[in-house]
This record gives sequence, C-alpha cells and structure tokens, in this order.
Amino acid sequence: MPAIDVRALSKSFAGRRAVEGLSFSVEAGECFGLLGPNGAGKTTTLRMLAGLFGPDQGSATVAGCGIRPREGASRELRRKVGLLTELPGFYDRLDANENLVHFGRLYGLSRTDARARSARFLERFLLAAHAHKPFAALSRGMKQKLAIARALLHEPEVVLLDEPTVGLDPEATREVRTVVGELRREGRTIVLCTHDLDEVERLCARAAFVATRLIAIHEVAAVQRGRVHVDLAAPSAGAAPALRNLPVVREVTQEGLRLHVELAALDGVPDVVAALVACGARVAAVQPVRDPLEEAYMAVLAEARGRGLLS
Amino acid sequence: MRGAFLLLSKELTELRRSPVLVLSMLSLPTAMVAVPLLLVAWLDRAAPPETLYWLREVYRIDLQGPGGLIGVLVAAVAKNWLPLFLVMPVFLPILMAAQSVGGERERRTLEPLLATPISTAEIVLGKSLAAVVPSLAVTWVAAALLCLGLDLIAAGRMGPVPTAVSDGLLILLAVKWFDREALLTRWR
Repeated sequence: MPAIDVRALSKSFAGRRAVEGLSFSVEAGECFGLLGPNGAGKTTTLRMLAGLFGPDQGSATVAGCGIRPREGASRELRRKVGLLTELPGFYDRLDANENLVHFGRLYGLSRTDARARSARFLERFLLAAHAHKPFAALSRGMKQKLAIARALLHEPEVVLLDEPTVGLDPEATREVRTVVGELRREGRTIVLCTHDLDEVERLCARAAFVATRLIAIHEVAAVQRGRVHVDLAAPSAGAAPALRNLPVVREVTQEGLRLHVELAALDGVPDVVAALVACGARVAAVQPVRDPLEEAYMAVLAEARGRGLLS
Repeated sequence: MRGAFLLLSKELTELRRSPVLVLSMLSLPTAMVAVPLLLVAWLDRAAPPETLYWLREVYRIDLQGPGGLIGVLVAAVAKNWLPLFLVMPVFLPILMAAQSVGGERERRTLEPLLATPISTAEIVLGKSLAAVVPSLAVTWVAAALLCLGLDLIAAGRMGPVPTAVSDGLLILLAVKWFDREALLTRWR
C-alpha cells in the first residue's frame, strides 16, 4: 500500500484552478520529487496533503489517513505528517530551543519529551551552540535547518518539503541536502517540492511534472535503454568496426576517444568490452547513458504550453 | 484546551520580551491613572477660584460637601473618571489581537501553526485569552493604582480615612494582603 495515494485531486481559489485532477502515488520510504513552474500547484498540493485545507474534488490517502472534500483534516493526519513550509516561520522573540519545544508541545509531546527531542535535533543539525540565540539572530541556513527539525520533531511517517533550499547560499544548500539525504536513507517517505532539477536528480528516485494537473512521472536517473558511452584511453582505428560486427550492437558512432554505442540490451556490455580488448583498444571507462532530467523537464513544459496548461 | 493554553503561554512570553508592545500597552493606563491624580492634586492645592467655580457649575457639586474640597474632588473623579476604565478592556485587546494574529501572518508562522494537530477552536481560544488576560490585568492594576493614589492624596488632608470608592474596588480586587493603612501611616 503506498504511503501517499492521490486521486483526481482538484482545488480552486476564487475561481482560478490551482490543481486539477492530480493523481500520483508515493511508496513508503520513497523520496518523490514534485516539479513544475511557478504557479503550477505544487505548494497547494503539499498543503492539501498536510491537511491545511481540503480539496474541492478528488481524494487522497496520506499515511493511512483520508483527505476528502468538505472534510476537515484529522488530527491524526497532522500528527503523521511533517511539513517544511517555503519560509521557516518561527517566533522571533523565542530562541531556537524555545521555538522547537513550543511546536513540539503543539504536536502533542509532553514538556519533557519536547525538550529532549529539541536538544537531540539541535545537536543533530549542528545547531546546539545556537540553541539559546533568538530566532531572528540565526542565519538563513540555520533557520531552514531549524524548520526541518520542527518538521521531524514528532517523528512523522511522511515528510513534505516545500522548496527546502530556495534562497540559501551554496554552503547552507549543501547542509540542507545532506539532511534530506539522511532522511531518505532512514527510510522516511519524502515529497520534495522544488524548482531545482539538480536537487531532484541527487535525492529522488521518481519525480512528477505538474502544471495544474499531472503531466508525467519521470524515473529520475533512468538509464536509457541500451545506450552506453565507451571512453578509450588511446585512439584506436579498429574499435568502431570491431563493435559493428557484434550482433548485440545496433549502432556505433565515434567522437574522438568516445564511442557512442547503442545495444540491443545492457547485458551486452561485457561483449563490447571483450571485442574492444581483442582488437587492441584500451578501454578507460564504460558508462550507461542516463536520461537527462532537464531535457525531460523542458519537453514537458513545451507539452504543457501546447495543451494550454501554462501561459 | 491544552493547545489554547500553550498558545497563551507563548504569547505572554513574547509580550514580556517586546518592550515596544509593553510600552504601547501601558501608555493608555498610565495616562488614565496619572491625569486624574495630577488634576486632583493640583485642584486641591493650587486651583484658582475661577476653576473651582467652573467645576461647581459644570459638575453641579457642592465644594463644601463632606470631606471638604478634597473629599468632593475625589468623589467627582470616582464618579466621572472610573467609568472610563471600561474603555481599556475594549481598546487593549484590539491592540494585542492585531499584533498577535497579524504577527502570525507577517512572520509566516500561521502555516506551521495550522499544520500542527491543534484545532481551530483552540487557536481562536488561545489568541483570545492572550488578548484579554493581559488587558484585564492591566486594567485592574491601573484602577487599583488610581484608587490608591486618590487615597494617598486624600490621606494627606483627611488622615487615613479610606474613600468609599477605593475601598470597594480594593475589596473587589481582593488585595486583602495589602496593608493600606500601614502604607498610609508610613507615607505620612
């Protein structure tokens, strides 16, 4: 059973469709990307999944809790979901620790538990030295890490991250990505809403392209069927002809020391290497060709504009 | 209910740490206490005869009534000024609520707050209590200070005889631990 199952979810604001007929599912323990241009309905989708407001139509199940039109989100759902909002949103006059303890208690933790978990997360995110600084005095990266700590304080089953690295400097971006990577390795179900394609490539197994409605689900870093690059250590005139003679090879082109080889199946790679070695070529590396996310994203945007989903 | 009290506690902590808000909250009560006290003290000690004549005509009071001039002035203030304290529990919560609810939007804390399992009713109750509790406390303390101030001014002339108005208020406030007579004796 998927951790998140979204079925034909729709939401309008003042007559403007923000989300229309959106459907996708996320398996437990998966890090799932939600991609799309500004105004595509990504944040609205996350807010519905977090129980901030209900959909106009459609339904969703998040961590076993149902979300339906005209029904308030259950407390149970909010206990099982951790939401990282686009901006950190803490109280300036409370310090980092007080902020975490306050939200921990709002999530139902006892004072002792909230304090213990706050100390643990401040330690984990290298914020312990700043625990008693007012929130306003923290750097942007620290604020964002504190917001991630808040989203995790109550040990949620599902973590929804809205633009976790937007506006951060490279160092803070790296820190936040490291944290998200750790969450993924812990086996938490994560939905990562972002514009940053590189972030999705690093962290997610799959991503949905959204522009009001779902346009495509993309397997991130999917290996293109049977295509490999072979890099030679030295020029070899006989390499390309030797490969063309192999039954498993469909097509070979050469650019300098690099051979672009299209195979009937990826299990033909050992035959390719053996043939190259037999003809005296020195193989430096063999790499499968991956599907570039940026290309897929641009193609999807073009398709969305063609269908009138984007201006 | 638990969520409402958590919000109340957080709001009071924030209030304590906000000098600007505390000052803006105390400015009206300070004026409400200081103005009548200074007025009564001035009228009692240095008011020109024209002012006393005007007072007599406008407020239709007998300046030679029981307790002499000071007794009459204190009674007039009690009658005409104390009802203005009813304005404070209306005005101050508006100030507090505007800061509290508007601040949530401004600081972008509303969304994380709504994402927690507390109910909308708890949020409304917590915010309402946070607006009303400090305002009521300030109003009662300000009214008590006014009564005490009037007593002190009157005691300077009449001896430690409590005025009926301030006695009533102090009983309502249940400040029985406050030894007013002893204070007045020390003051003199």
